[in-house]
Amino acid sequence: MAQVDGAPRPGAALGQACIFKLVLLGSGSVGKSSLALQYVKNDFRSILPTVGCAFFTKVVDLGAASLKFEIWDTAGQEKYHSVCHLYFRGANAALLVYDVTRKASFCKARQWLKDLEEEFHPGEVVVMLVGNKTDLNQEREVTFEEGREFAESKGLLFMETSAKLNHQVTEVFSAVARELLQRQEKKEGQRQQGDARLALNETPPGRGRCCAH
Amino acid sequence: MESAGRAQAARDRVPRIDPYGFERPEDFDYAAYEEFFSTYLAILTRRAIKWSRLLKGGAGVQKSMTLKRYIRKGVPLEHRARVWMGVSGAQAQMDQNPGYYLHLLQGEKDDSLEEAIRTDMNRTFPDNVRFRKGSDPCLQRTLYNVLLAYGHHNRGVGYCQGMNFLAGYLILVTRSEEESFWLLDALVGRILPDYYSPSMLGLKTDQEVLGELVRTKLPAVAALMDSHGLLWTLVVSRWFICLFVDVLPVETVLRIWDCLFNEGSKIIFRVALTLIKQHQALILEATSIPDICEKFKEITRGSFVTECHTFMQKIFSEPGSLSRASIARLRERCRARLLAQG
Repeated sequence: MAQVDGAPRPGAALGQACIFKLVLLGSGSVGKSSLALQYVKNDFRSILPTVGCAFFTKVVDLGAASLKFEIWDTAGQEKYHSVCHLYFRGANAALLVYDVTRKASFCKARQWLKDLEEEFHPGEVVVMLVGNKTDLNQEREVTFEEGREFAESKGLLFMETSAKLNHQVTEVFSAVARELLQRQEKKEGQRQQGDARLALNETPPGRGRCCAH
Repeated sequence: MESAGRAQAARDRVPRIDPYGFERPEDFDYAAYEEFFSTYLAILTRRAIKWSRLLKGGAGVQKSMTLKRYIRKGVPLEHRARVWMGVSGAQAQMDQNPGYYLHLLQGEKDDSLEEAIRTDMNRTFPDNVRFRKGSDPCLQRTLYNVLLAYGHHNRGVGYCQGMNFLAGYLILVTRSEEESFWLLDALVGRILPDYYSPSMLGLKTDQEVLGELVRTKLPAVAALMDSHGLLWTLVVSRWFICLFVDVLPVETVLRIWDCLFNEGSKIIFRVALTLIKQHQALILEATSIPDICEKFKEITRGSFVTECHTFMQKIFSEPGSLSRASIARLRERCRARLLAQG
């Protein structure tokens, strides 16, 4: 398998951006594909439900550094859960998306987090909780505070977005990109100091090891 | 300049909305379509005459070698519902269970099933004018009923995304709620082996089977997939789940379904193998996973798939022999392997 160990893949040539794999997870119709489409193509329209998985790439320029995202957009329906698991493999980052007007989708995001925790070592993957559809503020069922508190309690990044109005969409991906680069720099720093704990990345994808939640 | 003029003329002549209610995409190639359609129209006319003769007298549709040959050459739209109903056994089921469909709709409803179906109503064919809110009649209600009835009829499956596209096409072809229900039952319950059940084992199996067939028939493509560790599900899941709806042009999909209802799920492999074989060189140019994904999208577009009559001839010649027994063997082997992996 390519990219089994979850480490970012260096660009083919020197000076090319590192490639990070990002998966979009969440219930059906929360706006996963819309976020991806808005971010990658600056477009918002009625999108068919994703069956299986869709795939996008985008280069993120952060001024001093740049990286390339491989964005894997997954089907939200419960039925596709067992298929979607395949797409987790080798992910560097995950967006857990819920719909701020649907409490159930927020609960589902928590469930997805558990799944991620079963699949990865702590800190191995950058996770951001994303509350989408802030344009439907009147119908809100999940407050900003609820989202933020949950994210903080689990050590996740957190933002609210509107894919429809293109509000905070780029910010979400940029924040994840910055976090990824910071973690990578930190790791490289530690590696140079010969820190043995850093063997983490060389182990096969984490099965059987759970976070203490 | 001349070709630009021709393109514009074709644009003026060909309706923006196709006969099924779909708006043609922005980048639709009107000139190429018109050229194809002028030839296809002659074929359609010839076939329509032959079919009228075959179905004269209004008797039931009997499976036969003649019928198989006729179906492979395309069922005219006006006979499609009747032929699909006949060869798939849906008609027999409907006749044996009068009132059953209405009974399902009148019974007690499962809330979560209703919710799941409702979520997808506005997302099924937003590019089709007949499925839009406010259209008259609006097919959203019809679609909702068919899916709801089916979810209660087959509780093991309930509603699985993808079925909305299948039901949507059935409704467009049959224009009948009850017939669409029984045809959906034929597809999900009998023709497709276990695609939409909770574990989706049949779907996963068939994706693996395609992988094995490619390994035998087009080893270079299999080697490319292996070298990138790419799973077939990533590039072909839509092909299987949606039976090419929203993957290939509408007319081509319906021609494929003609054979699918009559000959069974083997047809899906024929189509997939033909697409891959035809574009083998293009696929092999790919040097990365995103590249491969892009190529697999590219091969579902263009004149090769739009020209449905030639395409359907190719699916029966290009992939070579594909016996029912060898598919069954492969399915058994892949299924066992998947179960062993857990």
